[in-house]
Amino acid sequence: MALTIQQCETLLSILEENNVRNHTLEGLSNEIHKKFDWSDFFKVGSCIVMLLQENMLREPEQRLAAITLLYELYRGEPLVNTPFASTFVYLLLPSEQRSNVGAPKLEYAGQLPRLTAPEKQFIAQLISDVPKDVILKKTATQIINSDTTSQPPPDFSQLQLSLAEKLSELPQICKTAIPVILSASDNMKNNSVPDNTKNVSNIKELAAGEDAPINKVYKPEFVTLAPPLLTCQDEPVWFNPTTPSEYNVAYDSTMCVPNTTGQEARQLITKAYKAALSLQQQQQLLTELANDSKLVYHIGLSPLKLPELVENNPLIAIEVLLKLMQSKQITEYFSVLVNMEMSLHSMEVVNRLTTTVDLPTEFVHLYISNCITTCETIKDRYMQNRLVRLVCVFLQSLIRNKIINVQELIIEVQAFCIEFSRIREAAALFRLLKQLESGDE
Amino acid sequence: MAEKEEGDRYLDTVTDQERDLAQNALAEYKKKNFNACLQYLHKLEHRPGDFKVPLNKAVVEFCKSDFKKTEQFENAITSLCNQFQIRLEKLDDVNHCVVHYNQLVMLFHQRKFTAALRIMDRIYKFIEPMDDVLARQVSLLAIELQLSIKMPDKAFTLITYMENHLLNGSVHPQPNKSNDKKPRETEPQVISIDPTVEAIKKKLAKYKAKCYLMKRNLAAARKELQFFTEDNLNVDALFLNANYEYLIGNFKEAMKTLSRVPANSLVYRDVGESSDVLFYNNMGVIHHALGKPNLACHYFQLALKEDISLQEKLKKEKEDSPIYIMGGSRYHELMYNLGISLLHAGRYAQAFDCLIIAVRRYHRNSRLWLRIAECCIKLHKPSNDIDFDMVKRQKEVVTKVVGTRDNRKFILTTNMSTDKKYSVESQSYAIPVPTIEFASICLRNANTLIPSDTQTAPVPLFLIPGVTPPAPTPSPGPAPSSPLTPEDIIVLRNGILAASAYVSLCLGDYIISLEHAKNLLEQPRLSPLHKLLGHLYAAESLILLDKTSEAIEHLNPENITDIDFHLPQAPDKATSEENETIKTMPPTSWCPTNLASAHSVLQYNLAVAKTITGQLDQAAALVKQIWQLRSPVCNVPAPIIMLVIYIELQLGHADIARNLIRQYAFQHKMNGV
Repeated sequence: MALTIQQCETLLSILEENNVRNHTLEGLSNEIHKKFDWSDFFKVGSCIVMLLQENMLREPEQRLAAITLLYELYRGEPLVNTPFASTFVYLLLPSEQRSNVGAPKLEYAGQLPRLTAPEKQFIAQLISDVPKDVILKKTATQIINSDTTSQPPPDFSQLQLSLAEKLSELPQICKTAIPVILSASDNMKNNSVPDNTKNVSNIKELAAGEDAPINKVYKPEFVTLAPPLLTCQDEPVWFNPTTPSEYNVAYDSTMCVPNTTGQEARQLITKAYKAALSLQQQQQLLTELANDSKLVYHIGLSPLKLPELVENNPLIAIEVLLKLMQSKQITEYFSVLVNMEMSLHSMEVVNRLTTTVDLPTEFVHLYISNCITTCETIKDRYMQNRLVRLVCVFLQSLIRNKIINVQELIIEVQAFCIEFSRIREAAALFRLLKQLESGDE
Repeated sequence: MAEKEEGDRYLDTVTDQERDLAQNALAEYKKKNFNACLQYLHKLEHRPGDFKVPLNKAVVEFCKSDFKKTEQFENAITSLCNQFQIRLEKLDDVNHCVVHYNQLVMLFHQRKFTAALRIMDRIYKFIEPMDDVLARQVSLLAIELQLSIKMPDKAFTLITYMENHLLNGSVHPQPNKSNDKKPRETEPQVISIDPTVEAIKKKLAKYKAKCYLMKRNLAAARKELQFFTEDNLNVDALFLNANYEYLIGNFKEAMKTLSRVPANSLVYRDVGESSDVLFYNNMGVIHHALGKPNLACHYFQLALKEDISLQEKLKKEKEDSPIYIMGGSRYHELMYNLGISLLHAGRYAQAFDCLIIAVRRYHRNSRLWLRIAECCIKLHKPSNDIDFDMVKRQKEVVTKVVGTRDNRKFILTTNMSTDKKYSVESQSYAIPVPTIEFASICLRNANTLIPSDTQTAPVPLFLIPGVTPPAPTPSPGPAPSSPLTPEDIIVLRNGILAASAYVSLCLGDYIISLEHAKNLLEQPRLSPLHKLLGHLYAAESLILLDKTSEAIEHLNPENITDIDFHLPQAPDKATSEENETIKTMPPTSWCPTNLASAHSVLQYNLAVAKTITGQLDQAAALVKQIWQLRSPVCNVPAPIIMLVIYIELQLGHADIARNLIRQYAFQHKMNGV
């Protein structure tokens, strides 16, 4: 990001004493534009600013030429948009002049040199809007020696204002940096610039190369404490024996052993999938199930077969489900039940279950939603009326028995009632809902 | 459906001759006469609809091979599943459970726990209709499986079920049942499981003890352990007792108990684990808790060496190995332990390497991800001491001097602390190298994987007909370590937030760091130390976000009254202190070590904030105040020198600044201001 050593040498040769004395400012400006790319201008400008700050230009002419070049780098552009605009403000208005305290001896980090009146006059002209051809035709020496008493103090408040505006957009932290180069002695007092070769090598060390100090800044730093290691109990893994060899494959000892458990019950339940059992048969099955609490697991019922059982023998289905409440599979049974086609029998089963055991709320809600959807989609008008009536009675019973909290379903159920308001039971349900609502209030 | 029923019927139609053959086969199997058993089975092969015959044949052949021909066994099972259309997804026949159980055993020994759990979830639904022998086997494995993935609560419900349903039931068989299924009552002698009720009871007691130890319910664990104390030489009992002593902080007693474990009492070839590996590892664990991480590392390395050599020996053997020693390597767990100890021993790069290996297996462990991030952070900044090292820092004020005599230029430092690393490389952060960038990714993982506070996640109700719900993937836990208590989770979350805020700050991501810091400060329970860090990080982020007034509030020293590591006591727990608490936390240290130093950091950062906002006079006064508080007890942040120089320069006192540099930095002299 800094100039290369060669570029630095080029810049210094342009600003060299004799070169400055022998060329007009315009000539120097043209030389800069010829020898540097537009992309390097910022680096050139930075270097010039450093030379000024660190008082590393021996002669006032060099200094003036440097300032002119700093301006000329971005000639044609509005000054306020160029990166070094604030440098000019500082040059024309040194910090101590702005400070209210007015202690004259103050010296700041990156202090720019104090200029003489003719220099200031010239710079004010330079940055003003007037055509500059005339002044740039002069050499630096001529300007320094010119007489300025007649001129009024320059006004650049506009520039100051727009710069301040620009700066105010930046966060504080961006405005705190200072250059890391600090003279060991006061730049202002000490005017004995060393001999040229030494000076040039110093400049190159400061301003050129990859890791040049010129590009570095110091900002006030926070102390950021790193967090401590997590403290915790019992973190490393303790090993206890597990004896893996104890877990082994299983021989099926039921091979060729017919499953005779509750054979009659099994036969009955198989029948029960296909048709309604006679009262006597029902009684027999229920008695067998009641006698052996584990029998229910051995009668060959599976969730997939549940719908058939519900349709044909709802009473048996209820009893079986009640016995299966502790089963690990009960969720599957519920899920089948809630998703099976809606019918009088399925509703009967659900209704009975709701009154005898605590069903999961989601299950009941889902069942109700399914019922409502079925009612809405069914094509057969007669069947529809019948189903709607059923659902309404079912819902009323659920609400009256406080099995569901109707508030959680209120929108769905209300919409249902309104849709089927032609049916008496739906209207009654709607009234019940309204009653509950006002009762709540 | 119809086919299936036919199949069922086929299973139930058995001739007397077939029944006799089957009984003979079973008898031979129990006597471990596998050849004779196979001959009987061969005679039954004409039953084409019966999958039990080929299944038993495969099982017997596998047993005959000393459980070595795993592949052959697996193939036999697979082809039998294909032939009889036995599929886990459609499991609704209790008879099929035994097939899946055998698959499950294979997966268990290969340590494919997630896959094993998936099967277990399905077949456990049939535990009620299952015949008792199989049900016990399934239950025992189910318990072990839950313990393997460190889910003691689930294991415990399984144990309870087994106690209530599977043990009592068989001691007093119900009369009508015994009539019906006479042949079933005979319990096959399964290899190395002695299924007598007493043996199972003992086993369950052991499981229970493990559960309690895992849950750190020490009183209950001790009660359970008393069942074993009579057989003193029982290896399991010794390990469990040592574990108990370790947890209550009796490290000496724990070591003594461990040393009573006879060498080679568990031989890897025979049982699938080596008592030496267990011994060394546990010694490492104890030393870690004792605050001797280097010794702990030594033991872990011994365990690791033993484990690796066992595995290499296995590989060199031409023959297949028995299934139960296939997954016996504890490599990843040992790497985890070693990594943790290396981290505590200050060998961060090595710790990182170990933990990166461990995380490949335990990638759902939030704390492990935090540990990896900690390795990165420690390599980035080994200690905060550096922030207080005045002597070293003074030398760094001037990095270079250019020129001579009157033209001498000081080149000041650009930054004294090296915490900040604004990455400009285009390389992705997601490369496992111990950098602060990688730490940010680890912490993101850690944050996502924090186990939920609520113990019982709601069990979703799956309501698709005919489809049984897929086994939910186990929720993230601290496996391989024991489960976290709610308090542990709080500490873990706070730790992750603090580390995240720090790392984001280092990377210049101060919007994120502010988010983390604020989140940290909002946590209901927070150690005073984390509170300090939360305020510091929040303040710095806010300054960088140009919100100075808010920042300054965070830097009020009154915010911090303590820098303790521990959580403040929960309000409801203040009185009911448990009689036994675990004490396995290794001692920890952190810099700054006292409140005064911590306050000086707050004050210093406040001075920086004031400086940045241009309140230089106030800042200068603060800095002076901090400097005067300096004492052997109260350490002062070292960058204060540079801040003083900065303030003087900004006030226009370049001479003072130059003098300071000459006095402190340039000639490295120490004097008062």
